[in-house]
Amino acid sequence: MDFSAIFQSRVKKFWWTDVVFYFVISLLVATIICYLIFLAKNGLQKEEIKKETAALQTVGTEQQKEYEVEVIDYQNRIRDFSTLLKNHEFASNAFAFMQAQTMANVWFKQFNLDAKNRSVQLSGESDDMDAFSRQVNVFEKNKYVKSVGTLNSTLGESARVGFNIGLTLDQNVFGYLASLPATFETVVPVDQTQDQITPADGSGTPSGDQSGDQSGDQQASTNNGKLITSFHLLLDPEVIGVLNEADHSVVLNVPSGVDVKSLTPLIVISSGATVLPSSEVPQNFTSPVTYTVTAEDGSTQNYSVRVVVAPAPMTEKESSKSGLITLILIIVGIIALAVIFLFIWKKIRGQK
Amino acid sequence: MQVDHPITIIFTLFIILLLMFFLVIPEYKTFMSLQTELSEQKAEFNAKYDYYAAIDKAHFELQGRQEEIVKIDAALPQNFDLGQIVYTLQKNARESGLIVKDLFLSRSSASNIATKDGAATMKDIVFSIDLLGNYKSLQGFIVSLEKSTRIFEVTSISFGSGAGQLSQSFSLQVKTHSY
Repeated sequence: MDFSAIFQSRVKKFWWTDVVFYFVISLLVATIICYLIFLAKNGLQKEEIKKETAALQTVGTEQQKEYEVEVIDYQNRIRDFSTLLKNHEFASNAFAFMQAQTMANVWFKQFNLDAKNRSVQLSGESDDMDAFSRQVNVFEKNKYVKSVGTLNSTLGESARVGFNIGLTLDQNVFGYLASLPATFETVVPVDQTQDQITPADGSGTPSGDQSGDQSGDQQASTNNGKLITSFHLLLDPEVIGVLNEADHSVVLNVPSGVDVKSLTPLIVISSGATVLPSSEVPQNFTSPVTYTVTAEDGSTQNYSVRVVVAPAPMTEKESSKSGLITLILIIVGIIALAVIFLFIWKKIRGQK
Repeated sequence: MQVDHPITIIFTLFIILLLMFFLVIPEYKTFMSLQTELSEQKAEFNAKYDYYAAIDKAHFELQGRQEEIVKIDAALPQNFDLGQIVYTLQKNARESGLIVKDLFLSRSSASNIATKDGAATMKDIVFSIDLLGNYKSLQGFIVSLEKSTRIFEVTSISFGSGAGQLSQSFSLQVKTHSY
């Protein structure tokens, strides 16, 4: 094996060894600079993450969490209530139906209604067999009777016909009907829509003392004289303030890019009270603004209103832009260092 | 001082490789993971912000619908208040002109109306009631239950007319709900 080339390279001086040498030195410096840049970038990113974590803490305050529980609870209850309303059945409709469909010379002695299976078991008497057969015919021809089963009849001692009859009624009979007798007599299609629990007479207002008392109490408890009941910012989309009655503060989270120097609030206060600065008057929210609510009796309550601007989200474009800047910085650093080394090298050679 | 270039080149390249493997690449990986973490946090913040903004809006809308909420509270109460149910049934029966002969709780079970996650949270409360009175009163009683602020559903009605009797006997099953 001939090692003369290696030996020669050690003994002889080639022009390209200097070039490679300085290139390698530049590479080393560039590597170190790269490392330092990444180190600095990581430091900055860690700072930003800390800021982001702190910002994350500002969203979802205790009060907002309470609201969340309340909203979810009502969401579930409204869903359950809607399901119940949708499936609600009015047994009283069956009476109206039977009254409308029973012929004059037919009497019922036993009545069993099973609303779940929509079945009616009837026992009764009719003047004669003709009246009974007519009655059965009326049931069979009615669009709200799905089937007529368990039919039997016997001629009694008083020449009357005793009978047992089983009917399966249509689901629509038990649904909400605006005008019950008319519906069954004219046999018009039934609208199944149930907007509210309203029986046949159509009176939508719930009766009973409970709701009246409860709404009365509700009104009494909210009418405290000098309260801010809602605080909105007229933005698109509208921003609703989180009211905290414990420390009389309002916090509004606005999206990034919103100019907080001039925001117009819409304030709703207790009846008879006044608020200063007034509602719908633009304010500078760079620092917390104090709103004073004055009750009818002259007593006042201050509310501190704070606007929190969400940090601007880093877009994909911005992210790639920052990567590009890093790359350019690295390349510029390498070139600059190469030039410096070339300059020093030439100087040294010139001196020799 | 004379620098031995070929050896220095090899040595420097070795150092560069070491620096790359042990400093630059790990730092680059950290940089990438931090960038991912940051973008995730930003996305989480935005999602959380939007979520709580929606919650605030929904809460505000709920506050503006107190009347409806009171109705829902009355129709589907939070508490399993048997005393209140018995009182309402007796009151309605009395006002309709019926006498409550027997009233007993025949069943209290989880509702078969399941929630989104499959678990039933509502309870079905079924009462069996035996009443004395006339047909008109029974009709009035059923209508009064159907009009009640609380949701009542008459699931079964059974009665017969006895000869020579002034008042009839009615058997009803009434279902209501609570949490």
